[in-house]
Amino acid sequence: MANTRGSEAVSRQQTGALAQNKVLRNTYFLLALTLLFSGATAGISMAMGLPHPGLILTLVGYFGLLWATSALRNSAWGLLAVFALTGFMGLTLGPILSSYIAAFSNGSQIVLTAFGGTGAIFLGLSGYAVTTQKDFSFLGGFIMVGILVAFLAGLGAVFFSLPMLSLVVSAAFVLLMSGLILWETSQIIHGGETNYIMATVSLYVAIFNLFISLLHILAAFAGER
Amino acid sequence: MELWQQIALAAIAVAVVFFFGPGAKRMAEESPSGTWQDWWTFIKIVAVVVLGIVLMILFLRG
Repeated sequence: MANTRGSEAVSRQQTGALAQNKVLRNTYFLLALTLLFSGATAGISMAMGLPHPGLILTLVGYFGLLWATSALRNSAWGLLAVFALTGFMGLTLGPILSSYIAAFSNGSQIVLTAFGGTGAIFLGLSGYAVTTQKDFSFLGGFIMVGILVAFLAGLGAVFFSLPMLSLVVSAAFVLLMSGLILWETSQIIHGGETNYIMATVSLYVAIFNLFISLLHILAAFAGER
Repeated sequence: MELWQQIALAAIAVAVVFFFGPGAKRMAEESPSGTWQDWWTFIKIVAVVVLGIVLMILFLRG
């Protein structure tokens, strides 16, 4: 009798671990596809010389598509919403990259360094959370409140034209997005996140913001005009 | 920045606080408080990230 219960518990644990591995695998796969897709849309917008849609349209499009993804997360339409969101973010990224390349003599080098740095930071942090299996759920409140405050401070920096505050917000975003990568990966591993569409969006947003913030910091400290 | 853009930005800021504020507050209240060791691990990880960024800046400056 005891043996039967023991084997049932082991079986349940194995089923749980398999389900979490499946979420992690699906998340990484979808993340890779969305990154490739947004890279392609960024490349298209750069090649076509599309203008930046402006902060307001960007934010409305971003929050609208984020809401749509969240609403459709349990259906196949959720996948379409993820690609719409990441494609849109790629489109808005193209003009930003073009402006950095045009504004700095070492602009291409800055973009490539930020790209490589973002990849290294993501792989390092996500790999750390996966291999150590450490629980980073304690970061949840700190990250969410931090993102809200940093986002409002970022809007304030644009509103009042404060470049120094904007740089501080970028530094804060690097810290917060690093925490978000650790937290989200940990959530997937420990069963806190079971929807791979939402996990992908969360990690994609972290990578996107990390890249933009790194670009800003690298240009501020190492940009040559 | 034009007046309508300033008003739109302010409206977005209010909307973000209105829609995301309660969720962030709830999450802050409900998420487990980490131990001193947990936070120390996080600080060490962030320090490595910062070191990486400093190296990137030095690399770009040649």
